[in-house]
Amino acid sequence: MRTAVCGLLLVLLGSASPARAFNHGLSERFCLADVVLPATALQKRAPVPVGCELVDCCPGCPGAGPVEWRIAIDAKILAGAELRFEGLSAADLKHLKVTGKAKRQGDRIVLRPGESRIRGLPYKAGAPVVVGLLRPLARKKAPAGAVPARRSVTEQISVRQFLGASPVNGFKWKFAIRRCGPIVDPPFFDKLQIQGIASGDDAVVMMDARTQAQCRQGTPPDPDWTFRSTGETLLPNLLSPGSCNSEIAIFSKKHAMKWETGVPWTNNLGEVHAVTLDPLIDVPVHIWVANQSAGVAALASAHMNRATNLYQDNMVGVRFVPTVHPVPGSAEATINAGVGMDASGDLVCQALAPIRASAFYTSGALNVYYVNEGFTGRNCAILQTPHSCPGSTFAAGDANITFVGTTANDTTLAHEIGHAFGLRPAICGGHADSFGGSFGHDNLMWTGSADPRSTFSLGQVFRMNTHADQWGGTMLIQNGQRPAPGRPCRPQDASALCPLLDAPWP
Amino acid sequence: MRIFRSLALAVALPSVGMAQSSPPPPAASERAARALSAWYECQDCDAGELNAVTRYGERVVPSLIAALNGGASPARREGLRRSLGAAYDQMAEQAQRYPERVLPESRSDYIERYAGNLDAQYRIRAAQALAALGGPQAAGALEAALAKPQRDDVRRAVERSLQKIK
Repeated sequence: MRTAVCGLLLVLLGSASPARAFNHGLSERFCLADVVLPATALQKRAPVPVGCELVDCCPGCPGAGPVEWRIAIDAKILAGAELRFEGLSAADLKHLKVTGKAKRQGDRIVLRPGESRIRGLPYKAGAPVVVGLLRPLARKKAPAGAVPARRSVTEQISVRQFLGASPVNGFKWKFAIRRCGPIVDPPFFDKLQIQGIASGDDAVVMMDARTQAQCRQGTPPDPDWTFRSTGETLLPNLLSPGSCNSEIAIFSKKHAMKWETGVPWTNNLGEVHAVTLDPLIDVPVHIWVANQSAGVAALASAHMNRATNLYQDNMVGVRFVPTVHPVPGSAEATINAGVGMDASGDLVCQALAPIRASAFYTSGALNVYYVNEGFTGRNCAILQTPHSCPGSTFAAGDANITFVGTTANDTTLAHEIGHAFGLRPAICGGHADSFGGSFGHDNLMWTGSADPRSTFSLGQVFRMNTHADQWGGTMLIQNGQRPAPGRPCRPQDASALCPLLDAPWP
Repeated sequence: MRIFRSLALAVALPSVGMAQSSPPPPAASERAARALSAWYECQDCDAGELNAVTRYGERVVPSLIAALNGGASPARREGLRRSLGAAYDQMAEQAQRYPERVLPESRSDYIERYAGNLDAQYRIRAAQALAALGGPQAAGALEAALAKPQRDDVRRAVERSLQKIK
């Protein structure tokens, strides 16, 4: 019994560590037809640099020397992967020791599902970095029953790099594969008509309704009912809701998210439900430049433009309208005092009242402070983020306040606005890496890597428009840009009313 | 009581596993490397990332000094440069499709700026972790770093870290 308790504690302590993974990973979604030959969707090559994640490789590592790659391909639909090395001569390639499911073929190595090892990869201080380029390989035909109806399967390529016996780097590439084609089969009787779609735009619809067979409302493990539309979509006979949830959320690049609850379908055949889209929501953002270094105002504008473009690409339904204000040097101390490190080294928000009382704050709007401090960014919805979830209560700050520091990347601002729009608490799924699921490092709410990020999931975008919580919910509602009430969908909630946080775009 | 004893043992394990007298076993070394990586790379840094590093005590001081002096590793820099280049190319493609989208700067400036920020971030975080751990080796490394040319934000972080140690 004692052993069991100790073992359990070890497991718990291990998993509580924020040190999750080395900083290299991709996650992609495909439909089945895209990943069998000719597989045009699988042309992308993922670069994997040979060598250590850390400059000294790891504490107690044996020092420089050749690196070994251990590659595992867990796949039934994908045929394996092709590997080429940039910066490695043909002679060097011949000297590599290739074992397991790997086979040299000319200037490439072909990796089949299973385990492979490549020994002798050069890694020397000061020498140019050799880069492996991985590309998944497709089969002519997927194995029968490879993807069950209404489900997806995940296949994976992983590379672990070793210096001696010590793991020193890693890379994971996940492929979520689902069946292609419409989820709804004929016969069709009813119709959804989306009016006012701007030229060149199309829409994504997430719908809950009652059908002859069931409540189609995305109750796990069923996926949400989602589809793309350019205006009119034929549907089966939808019935009066009864005890089913009946609602429609429509997302597009050039319009606000349309959210209609209690959609009154009846049992009649041939119903047409019309929805008219509204223009994008203009979101005022006040950028306060509390850093006298040259070029900060221009940099803040560039970050704001990047955020606007990313929010448009991900159909959030908003357009940021920034105003950049300089902050005099005499007020910088007040602004800088709003963010700092606590005793444990966490970045925390504090002393917000003097900022809110100052001339450098606009109530009812997003306020972003560019400060001359060496950190990336912090939104202040929650003053100090706890380290466990759920079960903690966290003091509220002001989600309209965000700080951006000197080591920000070009998506830091877009990420922090995600928190302002309700993706929180960080440890409870507000950060995509704390949620897990099918998120990859390209998700804008991923926090464990400085690599460029560019995506929000459908489940995140729904919450950014609708979320209600104890910290003010999404600022789109709090600031009067979307109508109240919102809906409390915490990141980990998944139900008829709340889509999975990582619910994908169709 | 037994549970508390077990807990104390479990908490102590990282440092026990990396005792001074012998090189750490690979699994312990990997855990420490992952903790360091999470601290260097975290964006909001509000999930106990620094605490996870300082648990390892003076065993990670040489690694922190290496990052203070060397920033990100060559492989990490190369990986970031490539992903920044790919992100820029995607932005350039979109700028052709949507005329209202303006590229902020040249491709090389974009890569330099954000690769430089990551490098500075590694050095700043290394300085902060050294300050949290303290000790003469950490102080000496911070003093030596001050004698070298540094970005303003790195220099300030090193100065503050030194003040904290002293």
